[in-house]
Amino acid sequence: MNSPALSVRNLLRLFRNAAEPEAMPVGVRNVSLEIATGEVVGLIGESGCGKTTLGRCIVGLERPDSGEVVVGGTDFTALSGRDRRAFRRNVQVVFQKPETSLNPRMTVARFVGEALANFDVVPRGARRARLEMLAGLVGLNADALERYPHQLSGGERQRVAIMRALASEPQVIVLDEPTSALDVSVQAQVLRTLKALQAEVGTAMLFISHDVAVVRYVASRVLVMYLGVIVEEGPADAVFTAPSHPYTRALLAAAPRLKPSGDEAPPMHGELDLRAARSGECPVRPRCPLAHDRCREAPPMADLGDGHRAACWLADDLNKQSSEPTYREKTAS
Amino acid sequence: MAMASEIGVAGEPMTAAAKLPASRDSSWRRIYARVFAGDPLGLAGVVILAVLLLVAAFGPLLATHDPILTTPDTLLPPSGAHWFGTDDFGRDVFSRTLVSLRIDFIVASVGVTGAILIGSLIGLVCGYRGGWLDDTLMRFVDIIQSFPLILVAMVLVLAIGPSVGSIVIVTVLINIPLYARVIRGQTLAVKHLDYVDAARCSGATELGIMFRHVLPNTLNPIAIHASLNLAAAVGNVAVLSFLGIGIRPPTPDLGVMVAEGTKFLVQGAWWMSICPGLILCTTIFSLNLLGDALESGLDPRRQDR
Amino acid sequence: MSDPALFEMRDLTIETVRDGHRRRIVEGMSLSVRHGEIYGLVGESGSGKSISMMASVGLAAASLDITAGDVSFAGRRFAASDRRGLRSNLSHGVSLLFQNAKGALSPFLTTGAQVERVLAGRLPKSTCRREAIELFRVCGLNHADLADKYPHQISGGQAQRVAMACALATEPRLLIADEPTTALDVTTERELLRFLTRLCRERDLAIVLIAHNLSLVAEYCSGLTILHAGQIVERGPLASVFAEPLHPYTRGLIAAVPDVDAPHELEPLAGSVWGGRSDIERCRFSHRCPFAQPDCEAGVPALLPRAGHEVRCILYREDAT
Repeated sequence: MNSPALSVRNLLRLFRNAAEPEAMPVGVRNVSLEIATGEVVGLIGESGCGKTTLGRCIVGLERPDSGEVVVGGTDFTALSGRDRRAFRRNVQVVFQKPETSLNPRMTVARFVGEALANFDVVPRGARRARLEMLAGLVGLNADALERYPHQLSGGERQRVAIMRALASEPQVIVLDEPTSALDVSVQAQVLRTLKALQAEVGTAMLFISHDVAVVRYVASRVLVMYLGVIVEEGPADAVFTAPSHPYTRALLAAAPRLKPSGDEAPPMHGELDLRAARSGECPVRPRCPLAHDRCREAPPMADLGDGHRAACWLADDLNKQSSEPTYREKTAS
Repeated sequence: MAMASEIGVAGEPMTAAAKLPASRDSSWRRIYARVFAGDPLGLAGVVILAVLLLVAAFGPLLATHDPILTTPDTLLPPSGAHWFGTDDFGRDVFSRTLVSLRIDFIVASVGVTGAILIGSLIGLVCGYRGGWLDDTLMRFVDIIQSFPLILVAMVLVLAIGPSVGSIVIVTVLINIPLYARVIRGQTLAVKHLDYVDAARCSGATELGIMFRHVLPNTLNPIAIHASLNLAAAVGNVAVLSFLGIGIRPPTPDLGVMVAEGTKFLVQGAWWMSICPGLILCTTIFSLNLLGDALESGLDPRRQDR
Repeated sequence: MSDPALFEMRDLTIETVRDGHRRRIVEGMSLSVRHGEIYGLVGESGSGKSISMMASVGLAAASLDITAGDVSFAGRRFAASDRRGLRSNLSHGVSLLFQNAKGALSPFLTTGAQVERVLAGRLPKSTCRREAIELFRVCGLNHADLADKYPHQISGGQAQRVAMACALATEPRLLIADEPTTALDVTTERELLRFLTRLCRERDLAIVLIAHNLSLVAEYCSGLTILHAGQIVERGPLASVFAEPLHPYTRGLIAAVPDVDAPHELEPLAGSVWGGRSDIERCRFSHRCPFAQPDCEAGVPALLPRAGHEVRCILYREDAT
């Protein structure tokens, strides 16, 4: 296997809550991950699990406390000043809110053109042609280039945000809930565009979302994050058909469905609560329906084969259980 | 590329807005419609202000007499020859009003513009950088704000002498805090928005982010504040001149004229202070109308009127 | 239908001026909800779903002209343009729940105080505290833990439950829930919807659930209405609509929802709700419809009964079958 487009090693970034010093700090705890060129990796988790912080650390909008973000052999976190600015070309981001993702005082052409000019992607004379090419790539008409954000719909604005991210020809794009604020029909349009782009451009993508169905649609590999750690990871098919962590199972069972499956994995208790969690033990323990004494000790990542791993003492059992066809009947009773 | 273009077709065609011509022009027309449609008072303010500005600009040409030429025709009441009458030196009050309108407008607008430039810069830097720089500069702003207008004016006039220049400096100085605070607050709100981060990822420098992405998006309230502030500034210039620490005679100024006129009120020569005084009121009133119109028109929360 | 409807909206029409054109943003909207039922109202943003429900309780913006229709609730009937009359329903059994719970709560009052304040509207002061504790319990909140906190100190899910407690404090018989879970995580979303379902059973509460995502109503509602550009395009019992979705728009909405269990290619609907058109004497979906034909432009198709529910599309005309 050739070297990955992005590799994150032991990334640590914690925010202490001054108001509640005894609570676990939120953020990212020693997360490592790799994304190969051309791969779309989905990152699932509830709000407060640290997925956005991880994304911001990767694109260099947040300085990690420790750890490395290696893109194309260079550690992004070690760069500063001019080098860091120039390096941003390689790692791009798309944000969630269509209302604030574009500068309201700039036309699309100027806003996206900044990336072309700052990184000197194409010579000045070729910029216009490049902008038109990029607009075509994300499914926008060329005349959208002369519009201001208020003249565009939410879906169009998200396309522009994607277009800006593509402009610098990055190796990695982090998409932080890019379709969560859109209507389902518009979401479907943008997701299709993203998928087509993936086939065409082949940029590595980290797709952050709380919507498991959306991640299932776009991603080939999935990471599940809880309280700053990755609790399960693996190929999308494996994780979705044989979830091996109680948290993943609860997340999947909770997803809204057009055809209710009757599949009832035991739900998590309550909500993500930082005060209940203790360092050194399994972060999911306070909410886990399957928690037992052993969970006072943080479980290692159990390897379930084919890159599918889960951080749970029961991972092997759960994996076998959910792979079995009888699983549904068992849990239903 | 074939695939992408196919998506373009199957995807989302441009919405209603697509049919509008995308130019600056249309956005100005939009602002006009938003601010003045259904607001006759605001429109009246603009019209009066425009007339006053024209008068100020062409004042010397419109003047019927030499504004500083003394004649033996002292204290004549308003008539066909002297529309606003004459003063105790036989000078034509109407001509003097026209000329002083010009000086007052210049002093007020130069002062307010200076305050906007300096204040916005301080506010932008403070809001964007934060930390000790913010603390230091904002304390400095606090200090300016804690001095009463008259005191600042008197100290300055003592230091550099009474002149048009010192009045401009006073106007700049006392208005800096307003703009520094407004822009700082706006900057704090804008600097964390996603497009600022996006611009950073586009390789923009910190200066580029400040001036291209943050500053332009903090300026909306400035238009509102500036017109109200200009009204206050015109009044302040007059007040300072009235008190004798602003523009000095014989240079004509509305404040000076009102001040001199009051001495002759008891003799029945009301026109010397009332006529320039009314012009002063009209000016301030029209600026206030404009400010109110801008405020309700530009404030997105008030669009559902 | 032996049971008379608790809430009934008839022929609601709302007009406004947009982009210089007079537009009928809601036309002929009717809705009937029975006691203890969860009813789904689905459409994209701009379809008029929230506006029509807000209008039904007299909270439509002043810039909207309500030109026709009437609303009856628990036997009291008001013209839809009678905003004051309709608003009185809010203190006689209708409550609201919004998407942004934190925005709906006052930032200056503790959560306990907000609930008590609503309770004080109908109870003597001395019993408010006891009743508030009870409401917190009903909504799955710990009163001792949360009552002294301000909205910014609690999570989104908790805020939505506090908003729920406020909504229940008026002892409503109808709850209008406008995308109540859009800002929540999937796990919290499911919990809240389960909780609402239980409330319906236990308290005989009826709910109008407004959503843009069909998969949300699929599990919890008994009937649904699908709106597009201010018109009902399809409505009926949920099972019947899902078993045989007829209108191309309904089918489009279904095809646009990604599926967790069996990923399929998404078939997005083309275009936008209004498509930049203000002419209304046509099928308002024709500009997005894959089956559009010249007849679609001829006039507004009628809402016809088909396959156990109703649909507005010329594909299902008598002579087309």
